[in-house]
Amino acid sequence: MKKIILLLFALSTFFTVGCTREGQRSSVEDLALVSSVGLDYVNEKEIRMTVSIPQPMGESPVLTEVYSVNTEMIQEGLVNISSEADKMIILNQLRTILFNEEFARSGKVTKVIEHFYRDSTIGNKVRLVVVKDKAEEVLRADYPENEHMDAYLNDLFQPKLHNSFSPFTSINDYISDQESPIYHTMIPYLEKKENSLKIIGITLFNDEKMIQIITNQESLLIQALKGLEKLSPIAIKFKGNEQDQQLFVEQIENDLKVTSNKNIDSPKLDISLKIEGVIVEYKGKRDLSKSEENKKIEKEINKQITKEIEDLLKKLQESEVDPVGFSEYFRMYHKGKWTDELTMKVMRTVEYNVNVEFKILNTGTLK
Amino acid sequence: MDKDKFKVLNRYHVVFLVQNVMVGTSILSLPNRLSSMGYSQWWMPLLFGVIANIVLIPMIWLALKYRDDHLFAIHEKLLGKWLGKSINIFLVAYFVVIIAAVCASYIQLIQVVALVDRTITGPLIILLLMIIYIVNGGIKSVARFCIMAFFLTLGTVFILKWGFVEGEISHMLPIFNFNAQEFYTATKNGLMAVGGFELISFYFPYIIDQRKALKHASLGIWLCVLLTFLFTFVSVMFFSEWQLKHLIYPVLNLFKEVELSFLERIDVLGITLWVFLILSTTAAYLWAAKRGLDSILSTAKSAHLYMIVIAVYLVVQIPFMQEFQKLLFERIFYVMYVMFVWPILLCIIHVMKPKRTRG
Repeated sequence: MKKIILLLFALSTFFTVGCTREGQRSSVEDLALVSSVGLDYVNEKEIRMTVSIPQPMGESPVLTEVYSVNTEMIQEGLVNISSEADKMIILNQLRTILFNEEFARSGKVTKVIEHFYRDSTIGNKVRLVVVKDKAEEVLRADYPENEHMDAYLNDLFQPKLHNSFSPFTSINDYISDQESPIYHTMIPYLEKKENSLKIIGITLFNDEKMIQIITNQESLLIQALKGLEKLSPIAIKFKGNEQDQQLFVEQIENDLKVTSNKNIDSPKLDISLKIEGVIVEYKGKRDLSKSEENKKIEKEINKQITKEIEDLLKKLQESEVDPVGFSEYFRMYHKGKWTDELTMKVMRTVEYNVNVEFKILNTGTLK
Repeated sequence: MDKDKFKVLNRYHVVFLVQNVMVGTSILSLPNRLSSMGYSQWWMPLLFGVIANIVLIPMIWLALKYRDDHLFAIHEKLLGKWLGKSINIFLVAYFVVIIAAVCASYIQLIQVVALVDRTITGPLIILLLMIIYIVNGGIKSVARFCIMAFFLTLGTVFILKWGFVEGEISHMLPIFNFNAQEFYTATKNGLMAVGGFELISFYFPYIIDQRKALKHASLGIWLCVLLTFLFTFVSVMFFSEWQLKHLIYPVLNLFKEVELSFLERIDVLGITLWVFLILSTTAAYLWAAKRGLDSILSTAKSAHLYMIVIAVYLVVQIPFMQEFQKLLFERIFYVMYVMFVWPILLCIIHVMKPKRTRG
């Protein structure tokens, strides 16, 4: 008898808990699951916020609903859109956050990202993108090749071998790099061209502000210097070389070794890259089936990549940014707190010694 | 069936009772608690393991002197009836607050992550009912539940893979980069991660092979320390120092890194799976608290169990005094450190006592 009473008590508690209507319990039909948020610069105070909400098939005449609002705070904007969209806006399914260039240059990105990072309903895999003109236009446009705009945007920023030049910055990466004294943040730079979207470069951030744009090729080298093992294909163009003009390397494997002299007062870094790859296309006068010729072209490629890396490092040193995080090799041996000033000091005075060793695995199946 | 038998815990029960009671919620926030030491914190769990193992020795030594008594009875024997009983009353109150603190912190976490728009009353009642159910079967039932919880949640170690792959091993260096103040703060806040093994003084009389209890309990401690170490290590690899300092539950963010093709938002799944660890921790404490109440009132009644649970419920749900409650939950863990050294004091009293009677 006692047991039955206890059981009944447990059951009734269980069911009454299900019936409580404290707060707002909501079913999926009443929710608008935002998939992308675009933020455009209006003025010092205001942001123009655009959200896109993919619609279930057959329920709505449009595949993606897009709402825009001018607001000073993110959450306030979402509430305002909720009253317009007749459903409750929630961010559980957020995939992409877009900023326009002006917004990124204004230095407001960190505040916004911190807000998203704090929200535990948002996953860490949300990708960040800087857009050339207006984020709103990217979200409102029609892409005839890709019906579902959100899926298209999402796929564009999924890591694949052919776009591994991109840093694929997620909210977590941004916070991690931005708040650490070692790294400077990189975010892909997107442009809307006619009816499609294209990553045309990578933006670099310093002190919470976007400061410059580098090319995809440069970004690829940065990824190689960060120690990425599989690189995206590289096109190498030789200048001032009579024998070779151009070649294309695929299936690149990269092995990075960096050693520092552990001295912040006169910092020196030895960087050695061992790269292996397959030449799939070649324009020039050599006969690549001969092994001596192969050796020679390997040397040429070494020279070319070394020069490209050295140029890049010089460029980064001049603009005083360190997206690779070279100062980590000094922090590892530094006792005490590592600060932004120390990174700057290392960045300004460091001497690089770059050493590239390229090896051709094969040149395809034709003789 | 086993309820009537006195000695019920075999060696596996001891290992997992020690191990699983220790885990609790502390792993979830440990990297944050140790963050005053920056990246150098990664080896701290190993140090805690050593401390725990050293502190364990006097506990077992004392228990071996009083093989059939738990700590409540030892108190009364060593310190006299009145002093012993008052300390026992304090201990029971301490257990109640600790159970309340663990339940409240977990339920609040669940509310933030999984049940955003609900109140905590329902989940709390269900949680407490589950604990009662486990404790009702006696200490063996708690031990069995610990074993089950260990194997059910062991899978969460797998989620560390993503953090490990994306993290940077260079964060491990330099190893000793902190000053005395930072070390003190980290130890003060972090040592509670190994708390829980001290309950062995309460279930020691129920162990079958008491001579080998030290060995089995040490094994349990190091099993737990290993897990704690893995979580701390990967957190240090994955996060920047700023994140370690500012994220309240860094391990929750490690869960968020997981990418599986068939499942998204594994953090919600992981955090709800954690309920097994919470249940095993609180069940052991509740069992000890019930024993305490039995010994204070000198009768063993199952009603005591419900009295304690109601007290826990009230502590968690007191609506006014939120500030006090927060402070209480934060400070109560320092009593745990007293519990660590307490047996040493008792050992000294034990050694002194016969001399006094002889003299």
